[in-house]
Amino acid sequence: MILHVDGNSFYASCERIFRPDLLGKPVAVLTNNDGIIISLNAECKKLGFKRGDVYFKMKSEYAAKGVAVFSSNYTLYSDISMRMNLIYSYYAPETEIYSIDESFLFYPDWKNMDWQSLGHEIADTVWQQVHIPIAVGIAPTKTLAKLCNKLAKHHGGVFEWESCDKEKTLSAYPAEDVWGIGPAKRQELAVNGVKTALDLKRMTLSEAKRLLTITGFKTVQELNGIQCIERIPERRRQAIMCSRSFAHGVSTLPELETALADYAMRAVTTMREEGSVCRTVSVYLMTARAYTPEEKEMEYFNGAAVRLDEPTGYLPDIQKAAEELLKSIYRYGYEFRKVMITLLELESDKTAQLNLFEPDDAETKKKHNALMDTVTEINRKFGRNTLHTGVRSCTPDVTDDGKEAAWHMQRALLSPEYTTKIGDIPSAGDPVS
Amino acid sequence: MHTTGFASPAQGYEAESIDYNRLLIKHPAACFPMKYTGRNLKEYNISNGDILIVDSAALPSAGKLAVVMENGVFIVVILEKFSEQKQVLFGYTDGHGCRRPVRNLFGIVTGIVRTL
Repeated sequence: MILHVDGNSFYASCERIFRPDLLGKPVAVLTNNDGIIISLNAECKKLGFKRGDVYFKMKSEYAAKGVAVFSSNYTLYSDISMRMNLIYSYYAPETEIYSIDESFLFYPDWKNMDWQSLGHEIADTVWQQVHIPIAVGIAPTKTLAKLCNKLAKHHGGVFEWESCDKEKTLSAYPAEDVWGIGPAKRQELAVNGVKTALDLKRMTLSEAKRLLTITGFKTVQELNGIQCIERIPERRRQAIMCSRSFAHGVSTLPELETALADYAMRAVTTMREEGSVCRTVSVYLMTARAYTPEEKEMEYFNGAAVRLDEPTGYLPDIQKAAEELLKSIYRYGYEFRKVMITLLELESDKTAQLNLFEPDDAETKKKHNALMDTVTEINRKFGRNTLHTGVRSCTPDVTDDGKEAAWHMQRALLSPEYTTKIGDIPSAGDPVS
Repeated sequence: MHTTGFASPAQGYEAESIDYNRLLIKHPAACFPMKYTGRNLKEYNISNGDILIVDSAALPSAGKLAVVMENGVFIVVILEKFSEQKQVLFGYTDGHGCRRPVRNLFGIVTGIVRTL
């Protein structure tokens, strides 16, 4: 059985955790450069605001309706995400992190198992311990589990495939909302009489393959309850991984950062040679494996992943993501033996789907590409690491005149790093008297 | 970068340094640091400015210190039994001596970090 778990309005929910004053109030979060609304909570949606709103045009409306607006605080979101994943791996024999707020949990097909109770228990635990509301979809395939998850949001947080009226459910579900289909296919499907998920389920496999290629073929199978999209998705096998075991234990963050920067560079070089870009970056950190109970105390294994706003092959972006991930899983006092970076969700740099809401202008893209090509060329001629990016810990975050360094994103409404920076932790006082 | 060369003569004798995280944090997913800004907790040896470890996975019970959300802020209270109702098991006494229900529990204070 597969459980698909997903944080509700994840970014906005994270912003609310440490702001008791925002309980029940509308909250919205902006994209990287404070351009577009990317996440809003239910209270904010009720006011008529939408994902994709251009913020600078609607600033006064947001202000007038008392919406608390934040810049994206990825450090906070990664930390909260890691906490959720820890809980998931406590509950499930096997998990797969799909994005910063989505995971698949895999279970054996136990008989007489009350899956709904399990779903509620996981949701309650995440809510109580991490203060994030989640939805749980339960089904025999990934595609159905994702579909059930969307329905769960209107069914008390948990929705189980086996206990619903399947035909009725699918006939009320638009085909393009099914995982792997997408709005681009809507027109073509409609022409062929496929409008709902039920139509999709009933497609013949040859027709599915003709209209939707191999992905559609798998989707149709999955809607029929046959597992087709593997636990470790195919693209992960095509993922680019770069890691090295250290000869001796390494325990300080700067050393790990330096090593990781080197691996990130290598992974990106390989990826660019293959003409690919990636959307997800993950970092894993591990000590030597424990074999005795005494060694168990010295064992630490952790990983974290982040899904970028758009597919990229730009080293500084990937490296920054990797560094933040490393910081979020690093723990003081362990002798690490291995650090690993994985670039996932690879696609061709020619067909990469750009962020719909915030397309980088073509000129910037061209410049980034030219820069990366030059770096590759110089390193080929003069040896690897002739040119490399600065490791963040060696570069000042603030310039001499007190301004943020130029490479920083514009994040004017950034919330504190509540969980990762000691000067930023929330305060708790006495009851009013 | 990792080091190469001859092994240090001290190799094999290194002691693992004490991991304060392990001492203070029982539930890594659910523990949050918070700064105490108040004066009411002298009898608990907690002073203004101390860092509290707030564990959202720890079970509440009467007599424990808890962080709750009240009137839009986090406050630290001493939990008391309130009622048998499932919704409001615990309460606290506010500055005026009034007993109030705890409706939004954030976590239990399970540790203090302080440097002198």
